[in-house]
Amino acid sequence: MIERFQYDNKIVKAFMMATIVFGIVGMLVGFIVAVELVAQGTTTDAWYYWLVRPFTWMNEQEWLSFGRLRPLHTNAIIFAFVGNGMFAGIYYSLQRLLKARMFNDGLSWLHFWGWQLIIVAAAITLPLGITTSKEYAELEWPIDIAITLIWVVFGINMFGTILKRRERHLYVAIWFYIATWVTVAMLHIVNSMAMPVSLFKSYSMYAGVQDALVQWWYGHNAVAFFLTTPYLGLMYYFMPKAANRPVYSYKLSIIHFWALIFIYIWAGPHHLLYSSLPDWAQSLGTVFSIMLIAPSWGGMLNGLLTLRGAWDRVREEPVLKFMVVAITAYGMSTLEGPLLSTKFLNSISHFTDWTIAHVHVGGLGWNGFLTFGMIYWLVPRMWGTKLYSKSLANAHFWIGTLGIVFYAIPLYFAGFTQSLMWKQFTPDGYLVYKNFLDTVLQIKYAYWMRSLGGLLFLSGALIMVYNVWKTIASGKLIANEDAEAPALEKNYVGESSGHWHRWIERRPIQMLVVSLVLVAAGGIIEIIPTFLIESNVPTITQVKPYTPLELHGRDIYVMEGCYTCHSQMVRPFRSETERYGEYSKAGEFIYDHPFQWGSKRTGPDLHRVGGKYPDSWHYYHMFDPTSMNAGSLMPPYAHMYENLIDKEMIPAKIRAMQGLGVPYPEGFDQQAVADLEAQAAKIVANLKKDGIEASPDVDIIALIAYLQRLGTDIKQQPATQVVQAQ
Amino acid sequence: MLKFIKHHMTSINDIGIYPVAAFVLFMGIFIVASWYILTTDRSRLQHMEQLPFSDNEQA
Repeated sequence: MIERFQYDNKIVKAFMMATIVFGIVGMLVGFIVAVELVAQGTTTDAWYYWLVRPFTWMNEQEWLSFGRLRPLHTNAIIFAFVGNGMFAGIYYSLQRLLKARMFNDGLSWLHFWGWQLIIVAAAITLPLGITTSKEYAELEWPIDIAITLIWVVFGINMFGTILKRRERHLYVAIWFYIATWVTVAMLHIVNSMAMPVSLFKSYSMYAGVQDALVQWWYGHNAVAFFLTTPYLGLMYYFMPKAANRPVYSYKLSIIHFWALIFIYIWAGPHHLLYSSLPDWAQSLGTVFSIMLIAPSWGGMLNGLLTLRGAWDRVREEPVLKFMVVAITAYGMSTLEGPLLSTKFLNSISHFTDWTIAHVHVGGLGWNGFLTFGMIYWLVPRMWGTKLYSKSLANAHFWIGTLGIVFYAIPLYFAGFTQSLMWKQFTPDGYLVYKNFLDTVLQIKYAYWMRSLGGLLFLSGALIMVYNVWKTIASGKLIANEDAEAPALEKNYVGESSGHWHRWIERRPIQMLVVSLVLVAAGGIIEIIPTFLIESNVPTITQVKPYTPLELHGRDIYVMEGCYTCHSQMVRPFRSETERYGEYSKAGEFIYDHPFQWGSKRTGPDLHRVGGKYPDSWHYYHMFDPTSMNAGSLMPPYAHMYENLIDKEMIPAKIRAMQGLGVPYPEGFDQQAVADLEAQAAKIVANLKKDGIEASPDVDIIALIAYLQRLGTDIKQQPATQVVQAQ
Repeated sequence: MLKFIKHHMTSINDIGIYPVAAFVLFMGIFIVASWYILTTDRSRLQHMEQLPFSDNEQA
């Protein structure tokens, strides 16, 4: 019996509009932080002083400084731009591939508005410094819970649609959607586990090495299962549609799917090579990263070869242009990623702008261009009209492509340059560039050029906004698109030559369970050994918990996003031990909830900064970094000299830490404020010796206490590692 | 290097199960996936790959 029904285009429209709006916002914030990062310290005699003054002014404000806005940029692009783009594409393709309207319109809209509210909450809390500091998972625990709930709503809506479908077989795109849903749920829940201190503050459940491993298992797979698998699903739907021919090889797509979801989950530790993570886990990450080339390139070739016999159309059709570059960028970054996972290349690339270039080839090229291609394809169809201007779309394509080139290439040069400068020795065995700042000033040109690249990319997107606007104006939204299909037989017994794989192909729940088992296996094997076995983190007897003042200082460090520019991980290279001191040991981080290893050095590593300078140096430096380092790109933090230490929170913080197993003595929470005041008084006395009159009640005192503590524990007495009984 | 790995590995109870489980899972996936694509018949694959084009819509 033929059934008549309607596809819901209105929800697709809503997600698509959100994609465009938040895409522009995310790119704009990206441009702002790019300029903030390089323009700070511009002197009045520079011809462009007034041009960049708005950016340096923002950088000097508490809520708009680089460390606070950079997480806003990454979260906006990942969860608001790509997230909404993913939902728009899924809500469009899922209905059509299953010949069914979405399961429940109410859930669709709950999903939509819930997700937008989460984005708004992120846009408010991140500039306020409410952050967990775990990259791409910075949002605090109430928002994390909201994400979980909305993700469940999305899941119910998706699986409900799958269950009431009129097409028995699940096309490969849907497999990717299912894997996305189940894996993101798992990653988000495991990585967000935290001990709340207040409504806006929590401490990660994990500490040090374990926290780093869980975070990068999450961070890596957020790239895999938020930025990659859903977009591969979209590629498998929209590429054949745009090329008007089926995917090159359906067999290849099956292998692509299973191999990709299985291998990806193992590769997280490649973000922590040469760190204090146990060696076996590092090696595991490298091996699986190299293996990842095979399915990634299988998928890329499958996408590109879908254009077989239609390459001539790429010349005329902007949608295909965007998709070809998107898939090529996917191929480039998935080759580069595994290469960067080898210890040799990683020792050069890590902590430099090479990583930033790498992720932007993926972000701008793969996610950005696939989204643009999809939007240009969807809008005329959903509004029953023609694209307003192909020329403008072509202009967008070329400006965007130039933007990617201008963004990535200078940063590659910056990465190589800086890394080589860090490692350069004189014939006598001394560092050539002892002052870290020398290596930063050398690459300022690259930072300017990438800002230009970002501006080009943003300009292209604005052209798209105009083009979409005019296209929509010339048509009318087909809010509910009529469709018809035969209902599924209730008592389907299968064809006589039934194939065993249909057991899973036709049963979404089995697909979900098998996907979950596969992705969980990688995580379990990686993470469980470091959890259960204390000897994986050798204990160092001198390492003691932070004092209350230091703990508060650490929270300020987290709040200001210091980790966005400074690492706390001295790797075991001579070039690093020469520059910073003794390399970092796993046992030094056991009270670090959350870890602060960082992923990028725009400024120097800080793990051994404790005791390196007098208190007064930090006092002057935080107020005006250029006063201690002429030409420094670091913003000043004047507000730390006015904001008072929140002493009321201190006992709760101590209790939260005790709850996480940090061995403060019983009842210490009640003595903590007195302890804090005593230590603050000592720092104020130190400052006074250098002629500085400071209040003991302001945040800067706590930050100085924390910085002076960093990495000093093992200097207390000869470092003896006590490895627990085997 | 090997010593370092061995040191951590030997301290885990029933450590042997990890590599075996990983290997079995890993090989299992590839064998099953390969078996599937080698044994599946062409008409089914053609049906599957045509699914994006059967949505009543003008391409």
